[in-house]
Amino acid sequence: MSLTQGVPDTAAGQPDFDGVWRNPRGIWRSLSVVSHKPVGSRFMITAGLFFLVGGIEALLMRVQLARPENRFLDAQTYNDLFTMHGTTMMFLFVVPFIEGLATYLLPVQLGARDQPFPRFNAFNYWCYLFGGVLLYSSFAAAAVPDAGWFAYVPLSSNPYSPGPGMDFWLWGLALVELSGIGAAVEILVLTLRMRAPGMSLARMPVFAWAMLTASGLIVLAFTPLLVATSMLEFDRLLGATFFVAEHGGSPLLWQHLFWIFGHPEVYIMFLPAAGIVSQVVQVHARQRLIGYPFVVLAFVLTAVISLGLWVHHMFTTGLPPLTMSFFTAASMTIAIASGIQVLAWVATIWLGRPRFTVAMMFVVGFIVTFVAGGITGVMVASVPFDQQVHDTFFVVAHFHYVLIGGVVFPLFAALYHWLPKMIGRRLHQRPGVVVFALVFVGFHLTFFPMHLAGMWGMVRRVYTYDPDLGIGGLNLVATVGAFLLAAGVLVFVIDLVVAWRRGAPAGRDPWAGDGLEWGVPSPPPSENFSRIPVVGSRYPLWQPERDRPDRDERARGFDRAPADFRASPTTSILLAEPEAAVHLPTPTFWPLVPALGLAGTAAALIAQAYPVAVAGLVVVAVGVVGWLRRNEAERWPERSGVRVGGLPLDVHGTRAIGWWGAMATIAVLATAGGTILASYHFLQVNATVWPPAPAQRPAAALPAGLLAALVLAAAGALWLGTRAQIRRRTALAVLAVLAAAGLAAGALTVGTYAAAPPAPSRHAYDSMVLLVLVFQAALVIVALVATGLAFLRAAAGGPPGRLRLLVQVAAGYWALTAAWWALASGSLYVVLVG
Amino acid sequence: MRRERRDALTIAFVLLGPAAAWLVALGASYAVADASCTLRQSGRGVGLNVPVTILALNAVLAVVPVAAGWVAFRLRQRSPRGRRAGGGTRARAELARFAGVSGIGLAVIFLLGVVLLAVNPLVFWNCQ
Repeated sequence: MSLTQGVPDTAAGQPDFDGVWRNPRGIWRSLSVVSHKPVGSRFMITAGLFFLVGGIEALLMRVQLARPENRFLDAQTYNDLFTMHGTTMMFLFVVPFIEGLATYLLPVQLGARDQPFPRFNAFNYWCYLFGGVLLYSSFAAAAVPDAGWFAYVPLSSNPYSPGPGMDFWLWGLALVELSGIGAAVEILVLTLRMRAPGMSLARMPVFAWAMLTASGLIVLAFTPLLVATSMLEFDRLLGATFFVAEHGGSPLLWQHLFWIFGHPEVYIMFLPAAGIVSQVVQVHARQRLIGYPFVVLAFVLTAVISLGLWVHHMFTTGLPPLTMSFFTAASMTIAIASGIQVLAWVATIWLGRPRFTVAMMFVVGFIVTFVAGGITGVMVASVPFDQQVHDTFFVVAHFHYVLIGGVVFPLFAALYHWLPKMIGRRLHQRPGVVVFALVFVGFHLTFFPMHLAGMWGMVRRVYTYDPDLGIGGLNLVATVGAFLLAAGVLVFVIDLVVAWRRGAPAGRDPWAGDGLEWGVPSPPPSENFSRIPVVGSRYPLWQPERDRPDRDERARGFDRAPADFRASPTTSILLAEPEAAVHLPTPTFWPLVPALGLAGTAAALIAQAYPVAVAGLVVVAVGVVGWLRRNEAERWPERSGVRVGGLPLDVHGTRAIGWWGAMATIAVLATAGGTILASYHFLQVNATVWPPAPAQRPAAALPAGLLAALVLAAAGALWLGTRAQIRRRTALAVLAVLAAAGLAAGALTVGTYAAAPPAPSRHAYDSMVLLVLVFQAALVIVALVATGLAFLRAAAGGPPGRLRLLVQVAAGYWALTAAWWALASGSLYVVLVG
Repeated sequence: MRRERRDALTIAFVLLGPAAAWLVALGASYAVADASCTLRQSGRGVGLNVPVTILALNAVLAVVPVAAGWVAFRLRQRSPRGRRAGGGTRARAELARFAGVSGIGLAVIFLLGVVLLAVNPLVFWNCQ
């Protein structure tokens, strides 16, 4: 019997809890699956395949470098390979794999039935897949990107990279970045709002803390890269001059924007790895993590300081010494955070009763290797040393110690630890030991000699070297090591396939683990928990305490319920008190449609087939409309006033996860806007003339009118969103006024452009004005869509909470648009430096 | 609900306040130093006393980690009393203790970071 009341039965007749959670089967229908476990698995499998491809590229480069003046590869192919290897490992393997692992694991660890926005999750996966495929289709088009994974200008600009190679790179990456940001928003909302009742912040699994901090970093760091890649594409496609020094632009701007992303990227990869190690070490040492608050403190410290380190990648660009000294200090400070974590892990092993399982071996291998990589990191944080070894193989050795030792080893530990939970079977111990030995020895044989080769003068990104340098022997050892490392990966893949088919059953809890994931079957059922767990301690399976009986009452309302639709409880941020229930969506193909449209648009723009690009945008629009319509059509439980476990479904404001999702999106847009304005001021300070004479600024009336329209729209939406009771007619009238104000704002944006059309190829100032107006138009469109959705909801009638939520979201977008335009017009129309 | 909201703001301040202050200190110190050097080199100096400006800026921002550290210390002080109680008070006490310990650590380290930024130009100021 359904525990929900006043709900119509499903079409089949009786409500069926298992049927509601069942995912479609078959190759074609499975494309519509949106549940977190299949989507997370797809992320991991796809990223794993890209890892193998990136590894093969590395092996080819190692064969080329095995001896001096080798002719196995020519210079161009070598350039292609180091660009694709770096891009693949950084963008297509590590971050998507980690996000896939978190997508799969976090809801089970936190006691939720799914991610907060499962359809958006599926959309993120499709964007990632299509972005990767687009990038690799450059091989088929014989236009492989060759300007390095950092794509420094002017090397990546039209005069030096004239073909479409860099366009493949830029558009492919844009899709992957979009996916990364989307997945981060999911994880942020999940960890803050969907934990099991009783799982306060102080009881949250440490991996969840790591993913929370890493996701915040993704929002703050990926967004500037998205802006930077858009600016470079403007330069390449429209002849803009953001990075052209002769026209008021600056190649250094690209380096700033790239490394504002690039340095936090290292910690976006490392923080989850540190979370994995913290989880694995306590289970396999059979000891609670020593210094849990200090490890969390170290995560926050690492995340924040990593945002202030980017300049240490630019020590050879001629920056003032004082500027460099700030960043040297910051770079060395981050060692404090790493030191805290290493001490906590070592103390946990020391005080525990460690079992030397394969996962534990990788943890110990990680600690040793990461400490070594950390020490060389402190070395290159010092300006004089960095200036000596910059662009040598010493730096290559350093970052591989950090990225393979610090990230890939923990990922192996994670796989040996959690794969039995995911596939329901155990991997074999003996082949696992062989994998560890090959990977560990192979890794150090490959990368330790590179420190010496770099110190002795071997430069990066050059396809061969002089025999007189005396580094042939070191390179041969490195190549042998690379093949040993590859053999380790091969043995792992074989063992995985064999274990998947014929491994011993893992059972529910093969490691006597501490967290909620070990309390469900392996693999977990589609709904994760037919009964929502209630948590009373940091280690729910080791200390199954209860501290609030009323929470159990609330959770019992979810026992195999509701049976007519998918739902999970939402809880408060601090103490995880149950606050509401969230209606989770079912499988649909709709998320695939806009992703396909975006990929088609990108491909058409690369091919300069502009009508096809427009058609792609139409597909995006159709997909978004179809998706939104489907979402709204499925709101019948909210319309019926259903409560699950006594908790309401139809909520608004901070109790609704939709509000948190919208606020996260606003944070992303605000970061993008901030990046654009910071770029504007950077160019303004560095250009000799700004703006160029004669100034191409429209009369002040248009921007002032635009600001007035935006403030009106924001104020109206805010007023409407805060009204507890409002008549439908009044709501429709206010929303119509809002839409009119928004349309006026859009018209004034176009008018600002038309009054003095910027010529982006003339000067960087014009390029910036164009970018500002394009971004402004995009904000207006987003806010108009949100307002339109609220209007349609009001017109169709329905759940009042849902309507208030939609109006609140629209208010948020209008407020952002108004605030951003106030700042932008302050920048464009007030000359700070003449 | 109101208490939870107040606690959320307090814990957000304790965990994020010092971090935000340090980020602003770094960004502002960098912007002042870099912009004044760039403008000076191109003959467009703005007549700013860079070391004094950076010192003053960071002195103001140092108030944030000091205040957050004090709030964290108070949270930590209050928590043992709650621990002896049962029910929801235990969870609240656990959280206060956790936020207090983490907050004190973050305040100390970020205060150190702000102080380092402030004293840097006193010993190292030139545009060459």
